Parts: sequence; C-alpha cells; structure tokens
Amino acid sequence: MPKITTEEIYALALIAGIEIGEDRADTIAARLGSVLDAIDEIPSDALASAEPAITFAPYEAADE
Amino acid sequence: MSNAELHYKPITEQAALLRAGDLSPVELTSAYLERIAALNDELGAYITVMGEQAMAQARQAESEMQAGGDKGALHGIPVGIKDIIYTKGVLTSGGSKVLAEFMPDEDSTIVRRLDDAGAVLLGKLNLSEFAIGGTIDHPFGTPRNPWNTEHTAGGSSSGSGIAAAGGLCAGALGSDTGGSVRGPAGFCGIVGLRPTYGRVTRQGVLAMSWSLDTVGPMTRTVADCALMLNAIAGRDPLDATSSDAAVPDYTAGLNGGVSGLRIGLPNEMFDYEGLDDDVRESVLRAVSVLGEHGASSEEMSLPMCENSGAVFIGVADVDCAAYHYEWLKAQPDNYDWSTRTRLETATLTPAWAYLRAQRARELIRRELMAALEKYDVIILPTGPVAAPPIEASTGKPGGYYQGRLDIGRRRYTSPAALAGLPALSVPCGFSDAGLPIGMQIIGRAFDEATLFRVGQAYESATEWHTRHPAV
Repeated sequence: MPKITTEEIYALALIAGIEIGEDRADTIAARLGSVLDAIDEIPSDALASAEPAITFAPYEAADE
Repeated sequence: MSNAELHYKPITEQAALLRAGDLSPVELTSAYLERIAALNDELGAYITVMGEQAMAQARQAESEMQAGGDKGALHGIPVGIKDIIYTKGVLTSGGSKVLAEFMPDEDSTIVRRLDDAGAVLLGKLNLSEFAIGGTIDHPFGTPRNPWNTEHTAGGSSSGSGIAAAGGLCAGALGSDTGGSVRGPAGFCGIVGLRPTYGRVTRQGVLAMSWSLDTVGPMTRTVADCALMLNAIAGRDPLDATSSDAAVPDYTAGLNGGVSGLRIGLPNEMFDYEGLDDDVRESVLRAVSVLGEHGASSEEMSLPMCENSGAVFIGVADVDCAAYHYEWLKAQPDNYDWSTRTRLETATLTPAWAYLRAQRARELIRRELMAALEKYDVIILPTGPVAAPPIEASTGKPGGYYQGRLDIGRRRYTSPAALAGLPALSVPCGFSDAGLPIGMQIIGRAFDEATLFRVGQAYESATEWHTRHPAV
C-alpha cells in the first residue's frame, strides 16, 4: 500500500473528531501504515470462505 | 516461622498451615503488608494498598476459622488484583490519570467471589495504562521486574506479575486480552492462565476489547493457579458473555500425568526469525521433559496464525479506541503518549481493515480448532524473547510495542486470544541474561483442566518454580 502521509493523518483525524499533534503524527502514520500493510497481506483467497467474527458468543458447553 | 519463609510459600502450603492452626490469616496478611511496605516503592507493584481493609478481612477470616468455618482453599489467603477490576469505594484507576479519582459504587463480581471464598484483598495492582501495553510514563510508578529491576515486568498485568513473583501476595489476578496475563507471567517466571473466553465473568472490569477480554490468575505454582480459577470461574448473570458450562474442580486431575498426551509444535512459532535461541531451546527442552513422562510431540503448521499479530491489532485496538473515544476527546492530555498514539492510530483505522481482520480471526479460530482435534495441546514459547530493558519495552518509536516488531512478537499470544481458547504460561528456564522464560500451553475450549495437568507434570519434574528473585 502507498505510504501514509501526515497530511492524510490530519485529514482522517478531522473526520474522526480527534486532534492529533505534530509530536505524534509521524508515529501514527508509520504505525497505521504497518498495521494496514500487515492486514492487507493476509491472503485474499483464504479470506473468501470467512465471514467476520463480529459476534463472538461463548462456547455453550464444555463437551461441545 | 519467619516472613521470608512465608511470602514465597505456595497457596496450597499456606492454606495447610492455616487449617492446622500453625499460621493465622492475620500473621500471613501482616507479613505481606510488611513486604509490600518494604519493596513497593522499588518494584511499583501496587497502585493502592488496602492495608486496613485487608487486616479487617484477615481478622474476620481468623474468627471464622477459629469457629470451625471453612470457605475453601483461599480462606484467609492474601491476594492482589489488577487495578481495572472494580472495588467499591477504592480507587480503580486503570493505571491512568484519566481515572485517577474513580471509585466504583459497587464491587465487581470477581471481587465478590474472592470475598465469598474468604480471600484477603491486599490491594490494587499496577498495569500498563488501561491494559493496553507499551506505557512510557506510568502515573503510579514504573513497574519493575523483580529478577532485574532495569527490565520490564511485561504488560499489561505488570503489577500482578511482579507481586506474585516477588512475594508481595500469595496470588494475583490479571487480565488477558491478547497476552496480558501470559506475557508478564513469562517475563516474571510465574504461572499465568488466560481462561477460555466466557469462563470468568468480565462484569465490573474495565474493557479493552469486549470479545477478547478475560480475567485470569497469576501464581507461583500450577496448583495455586487452579485454586484461584476455582474461586472465580462460572456463569454470571451480570455478564451476558459468561458461559454456563459446568465448572469442575480444577485441582482434581492435577496429578494425572501426561502419558499418551499429544502435543503439537507449530513451526511458525519455533522458526520465527525474532525468536531468541535461548527461548527456543528452553521450550524445546521442556517439551522433551514432557516426552520423558509419556507425552508425544510433533511439528505441525498453523499458517494463518502467522497473521495473528496484525489481526489482533486490527480487532482489539479498534475495539479499544471505540471504548475510549469519549475520554480521548475530552481529556487527551491525561493519556500516556504511547497509549494516546496507539488509540489515535486505531481511531483512524478504516472499516475494511477492521472487517478483514475479523474475517481472518475466524480463520485463525478454525485453524486452531482443527489442530486441537489432532493434538491435546499446542505448545509454543510464551513470547519470543525474555524481558527487555524498560527503556526498550515501551511504545516509543523503535520500542517493543511499535510497528512491525509489535505485530511480529504478538503471534505468540494472539492466536489463543483470537480463538477464545485457554492458554497457560509456566516457567521453563532462564535466558542467558538470567531472566525467566515461559512455555505456553494452548488447549481446547473449557479444558483448562488439561492445561493444569500438563503444567503440573512439568512443574513436578523441574525446579524452576522453586527459584525466586533476590528482592
């Protein structure tokens, strides 16, 4: 994925309603880039069979 | 009996002395309070010491026991709990200036269960801010590893690990969202359990990620860990995600041995480039010990789990940012620089990434469930390295909680968390630098008993649990 710039971070922050200072913008851009790259690298063909595990109910019985 | 003999004794031995009348809850609690007074400034284990309340509980336990009462193995046993667990009228800070004056109106279910078991609550234990990990400036004191105070105790249940390892409590409770019990247990050389999701109530516990959070015991022996789980496990009507699966006596099968046990050793965890040689060798030696006692092991593969660090960050951090959104807007300067940076990053994470992570999480769960049909347990290092120096262990750029390094090392503790499975860390040696190393045992849902049985078999065959830091 293309490198995320601090200008893009400021723009996203404005939309999200948070204020990001100059002392953290570079770190946030780098960290967000690392996370998005790593998630993007998960093989798409494997994901084709999976729906999001959004609702994670506890297992109902130990002997299931 | 001297205090030095008392404070490192396992709960099982302390309980036996209490029952025999050779020790009183007041004597035991006093011994721990004296040790906390002597060492807490140096180690940063406790945020709040509940001295008066603890002594009152100890006197009550003493009266009850003298009158023939018996509330079980924790009756009169002094414990500490992580400071994200609600205690009525007592500071519950989450390790943050954001909640520096928060005193809940009610106890959490877990605190009520400890009270029902007759345990004595010594105080509230330090942690990474809001159980997130990577804190640079801890507002209530820097947690320090009792084996080497220049090194981290791990996070986020730092104080719980320090207190249990350093003999500042008989046992502790931590919380584990993605490794926060197991990590500090490994770094501090103690036993730590992440229970099955839903096994222990989350009611009255500050959240990090609703679908990942668990509360688990941290102790000096496997048997003590089982005793503490006995006290806190079980359905809670106040937590919709708590399970009604039957709660066995987790101490019952401890000495069942490992004959016939099938162990899977995932290549992705033993071949990882970031794994230190001394950690790999210690864990493989531990597996050999289990082999000498009748277990069999073989290499296997968990390819999707290689992605688990990124998946964890993609899910847990975004959940956490949602939980903190109002506080983050209202009082951003009250957060630690690292916590704030991580939460802000997660706030900006796009929906496609969150949902892609949730889809991958489902695949990780399937992969582990399939593996656990073939193997009784999966064994891997608790983490890729022993405790790093404090300076290198934060969320500062280049630190342990930053970028690619953070994602890479998380592959060890994230898989069980993402799949909702139980995992136990037991001490299995020391690094070349003299710091503890942990072996992690992952098991089937609600099969904590097997994890304890494996841990006990290893502990019985080795002496790591008898070593204590020189503090």
